[in-house]
Amino acid sequence: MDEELKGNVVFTTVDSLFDWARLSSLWPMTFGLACCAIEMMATGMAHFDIDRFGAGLFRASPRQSDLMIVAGTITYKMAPRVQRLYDQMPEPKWVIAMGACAVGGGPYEPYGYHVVKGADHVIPVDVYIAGCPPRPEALLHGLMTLQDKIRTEKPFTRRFNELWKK
Amino acid sequence: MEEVALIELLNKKISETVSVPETGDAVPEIEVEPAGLSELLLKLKDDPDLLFDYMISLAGMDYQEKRGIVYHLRSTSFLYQVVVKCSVPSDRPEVPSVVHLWPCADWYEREAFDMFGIIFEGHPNLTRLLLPDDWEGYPLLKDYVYPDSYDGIPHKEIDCDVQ
Repeated sequence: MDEELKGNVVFTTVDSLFDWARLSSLWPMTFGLACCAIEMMATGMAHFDIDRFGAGLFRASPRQSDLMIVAGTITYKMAPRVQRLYDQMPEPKWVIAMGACAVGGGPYEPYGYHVVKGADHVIPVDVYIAGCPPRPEALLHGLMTLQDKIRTEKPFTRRFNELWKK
Repeated sequence: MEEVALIELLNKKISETVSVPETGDAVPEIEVEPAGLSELLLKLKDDPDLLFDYMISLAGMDYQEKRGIVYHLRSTSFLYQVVVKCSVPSDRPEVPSVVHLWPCADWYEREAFDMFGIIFEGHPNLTRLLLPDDWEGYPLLKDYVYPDSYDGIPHKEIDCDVQ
């Protein structure tokens, strides 16, 4: 019995297990707003291959997505749609603001009359990526930064505290 | 010297002054009053020696006390090109629509309305093309006042300290 178990038993916490599962299969939404989306597509293709990090399954529906990559300029006309797509995503969900426009308006700050000065006006953002547009390596670095962030989350402990520690 | 031939031809056909700018591509320019615009454009399109059947672009302009409309026309039969310029007073920027002559003018006119507030009389659907329908003002005018916010979203970056 002891011999069979040797090397086959892992001790971990539920939090770590959840985090590991979540960060290893982030499904981004098929969603691009401007030229940054071209770099995002390049990141998804074979050369850069975002699937190496488990985030390659671009879903066509927000209902099936964990990750929204805001890739491009958010105009005032588009902002309510971005908001709605974010609201349609089920929890847990994360947002990467990719590129200068999504971070803070980019070249449209301050004189672009039609551009929202940063995605954080509309939805909560987890990771900001600088660049105009960022190279695929930068997006991959942003993704890994987000995975590091998810690794620190304690979803089970938080839920337990919410339910029982009152 | 195609331009010279075209200018002579235009001088014979129309009464408006035809000039050639000294810089640029030396495309003949016709200045016209709003009252004569419809008649001139119809003649340019339908005259068998001119046949300007292709409208390359329609642009709005802001000269502050006046607003301008610039038409770039091309004749696919004779390969002529011509520029027609018309300006209207800023307090009543109204010109006749040319959608019935060149259907591609539809969205050009909507864009000029969207950005400069020029009203094209007789346009089938003169609504905003790019901006939201409830947008206030015409953003490409020189005296446009930037709004503080739109739809509850403020018009500046969020101040934050990066940890």
